[in-house]
Amino acid sequence: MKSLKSLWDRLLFRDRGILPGKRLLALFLIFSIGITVMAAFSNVSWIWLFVMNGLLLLISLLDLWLSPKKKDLSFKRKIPDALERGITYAVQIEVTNASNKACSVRLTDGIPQSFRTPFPFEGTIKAQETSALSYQVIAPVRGNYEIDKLFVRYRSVFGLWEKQTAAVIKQHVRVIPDLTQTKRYLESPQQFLLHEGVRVRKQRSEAGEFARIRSYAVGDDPRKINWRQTAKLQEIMSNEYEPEHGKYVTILIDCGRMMGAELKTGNRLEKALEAALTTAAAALRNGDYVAVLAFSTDVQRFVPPEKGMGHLQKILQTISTIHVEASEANYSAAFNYLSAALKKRSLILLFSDVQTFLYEETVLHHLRRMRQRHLFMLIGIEDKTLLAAARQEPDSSKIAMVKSVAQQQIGFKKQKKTYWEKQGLSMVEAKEERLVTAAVSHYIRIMNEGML
Amino acid sequence: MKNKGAASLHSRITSRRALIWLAAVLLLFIGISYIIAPDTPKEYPAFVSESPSPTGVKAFYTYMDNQTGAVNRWRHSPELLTGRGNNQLLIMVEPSFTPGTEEMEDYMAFMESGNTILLLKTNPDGMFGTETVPAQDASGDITDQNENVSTAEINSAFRLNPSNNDNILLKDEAGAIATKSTFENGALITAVAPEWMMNAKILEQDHLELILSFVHAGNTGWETVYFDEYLHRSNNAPSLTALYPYWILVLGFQAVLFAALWLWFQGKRFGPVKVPREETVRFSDERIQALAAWYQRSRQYRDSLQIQADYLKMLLQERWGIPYYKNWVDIQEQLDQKAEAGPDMKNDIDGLTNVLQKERIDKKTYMSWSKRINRLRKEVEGE
Repeated sequence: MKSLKSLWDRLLFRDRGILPGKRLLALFLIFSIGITVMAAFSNVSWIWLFVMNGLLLLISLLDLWLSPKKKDLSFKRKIPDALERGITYAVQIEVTNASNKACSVRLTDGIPQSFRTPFPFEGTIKAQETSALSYQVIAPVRGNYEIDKLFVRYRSVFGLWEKQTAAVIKQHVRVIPDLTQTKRYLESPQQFLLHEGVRVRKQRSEAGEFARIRSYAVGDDPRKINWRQTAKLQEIMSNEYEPEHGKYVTILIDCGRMMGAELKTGNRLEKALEAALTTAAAALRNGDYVAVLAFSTDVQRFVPPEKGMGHLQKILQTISTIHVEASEANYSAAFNYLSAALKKRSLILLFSDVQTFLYEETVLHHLRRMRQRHLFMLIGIEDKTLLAAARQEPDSSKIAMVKSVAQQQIGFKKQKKTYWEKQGLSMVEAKEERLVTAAVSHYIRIMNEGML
Repeated sequence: MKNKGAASLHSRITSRRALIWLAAVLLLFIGISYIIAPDTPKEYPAFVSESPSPTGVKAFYTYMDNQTGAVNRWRHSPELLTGRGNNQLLIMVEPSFTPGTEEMEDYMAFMESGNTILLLKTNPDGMFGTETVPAQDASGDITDQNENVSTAEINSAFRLNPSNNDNILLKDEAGAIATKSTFENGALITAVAPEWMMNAKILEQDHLELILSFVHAGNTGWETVYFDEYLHRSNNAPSLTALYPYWILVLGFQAVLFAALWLWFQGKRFGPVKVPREETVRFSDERIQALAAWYQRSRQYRDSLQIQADYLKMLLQERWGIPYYKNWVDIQEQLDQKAEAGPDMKNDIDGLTNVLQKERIDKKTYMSWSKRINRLRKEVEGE
């Protein structure tokens, strides 16, 4: 009984093994019909029947025996170390066939279950050649993964049997946030913001530090004319200023319950991560210090302030594994941690859900204290579901109730928002697809206006 | 490294010691159970010539063996009986099944070539063309051809229905108990009382004499006496092969093989072992849905209308610049100046003021006013 079970196990559930091919099934079907017809019209004995069946299987096994050996095939996988979430990548599998027979293979890669792929995929490897097969993969969930086995099936010469084997190719893959927007920003900040329809405002004249002297252009502030240089060069020269460098920017990311709400693509946390990374890239490019803190009930990740583009990689590595927690965000814990960790005046950008934030009573107290040292800004994603709920037709009492509650929430939010803005705390709600540009342009505006 | 080696050695020794202990305990248990457990007699099927149990017929078999020395058990198909000479006796005691047509013909051929079959069966109906009739009241003395009376136990509820050629050997008041019929050179002796030959009963009453009278009925010196064990085999009942045509059986056999191949083809795992995983989706409206459910359960229709009216007022402030803090009554004047405000609007707002002043609002009013406020909202928002 035990040996039968282990045989069954070997036949069906092991990685390695053999299995009948479609052609064998078809052949056997034809054979069975033939034998049945023979039995109907003539007298064939059971022994003859067993012998014929056995013979058929034996001959088919000969085909299996002639096919390439498992050790004749070797495999190599090429997959990028870091995959951006939701973006299609090609994974290459290099198959080397050392035998002198061509074989057609089917492959299923042992990639993590959350990845989306069209398996199995097929290809033919000629005798004593190496071919590259490739498949497309989309990774929708961030995290660190390990890819272990590559499962292979290949047909025997006549296709009566298939051999199955599993090649162990261990590889580590990280799935990081979608960096498309960040890359676009880094390529050309001006174009990125212009394309999104945000005008970078002119900086205030007295703000910033001296950058260089250049020839006077029409429209320059006469107060900026550098008279000494003008006299020296017999040409009107004016001073140019630029926003100060070396400011501190702290990015807070809420990983609480409400950040898990689904949007058109991904959830709020994914959008917040994209915006946070792009803002961090913008700040690091400007030469500012960037710190990042992710929190839910407690502080989850903290990247201390640092400058230089190299820091972006560290931020990316640290925050690419954060996930939405089931609990409500604890703002107090984050603010307490921050006030201890931040020594210098800093711009604090909080990516969170505005609604949850406004309901939190204790936050006000903390913020009043923080405001004395830091500049605070909340960036949230506009709740489309809420707005739609407030405008739906009241066809049933249930819908009418939902509608009235939604209207109440909108009213409450508006009220609170005006109240908080009077206290000097700015809050921005951006549409899902404009969150990244909103965050970056607010950062640039604050820096340009020298508010920090 | 050294430590690790020592540890593994130690663990190996302990595991071996544990194994020895286990074996010892196991042996002890086996010994105890052997001593304590009672000797249960081996189970035999009834009327088997090897069975020494009360239901067996070993006693008679041994007796015959001692008497003649030419007694055998017949375990093969009756096919092989033909051509084995004549003057042989085949004793069938309560066959467990009725043989098929081909086998029956083989047995008859055996008799026709000058041999005799002694058939003892409670109801031999259908064996070699024997017919039986149900017995009305089975009692009384048993008389033979010569009107000699003997006593015997008869449990059978059937009596033989002899044909004209048959010779009645024994009978009682209910009918014929044993008959003899000839098959060309041979004969068939049939009796409905197999229990006479049982180990437990053979020496009771006149059973042995009666049995011996059957054995010697045709002949006194048998060349060989066979005890048929072929018909005692339990699994030799006319099987599926007799029920279904041969080609269907072949088809079934091939189908089983094909199904096995198909399962193998379909069931072989290809790819990693998949683990069920949970995915949760959260929507941002869970808060308003929960609150709305609470409002609805407690029938807060008035509050809900109030909220909708407030929202409308807020829109009036945002879109038309009518101050939010003003009462509905005071708004009328400013509404008059607005070109966008339709004539219905004024009536609606009048009605709304009245409705909001009510203590309780029923569902019907609530629904109709929700719809009217929605219409006003659309007007203000310019949809």
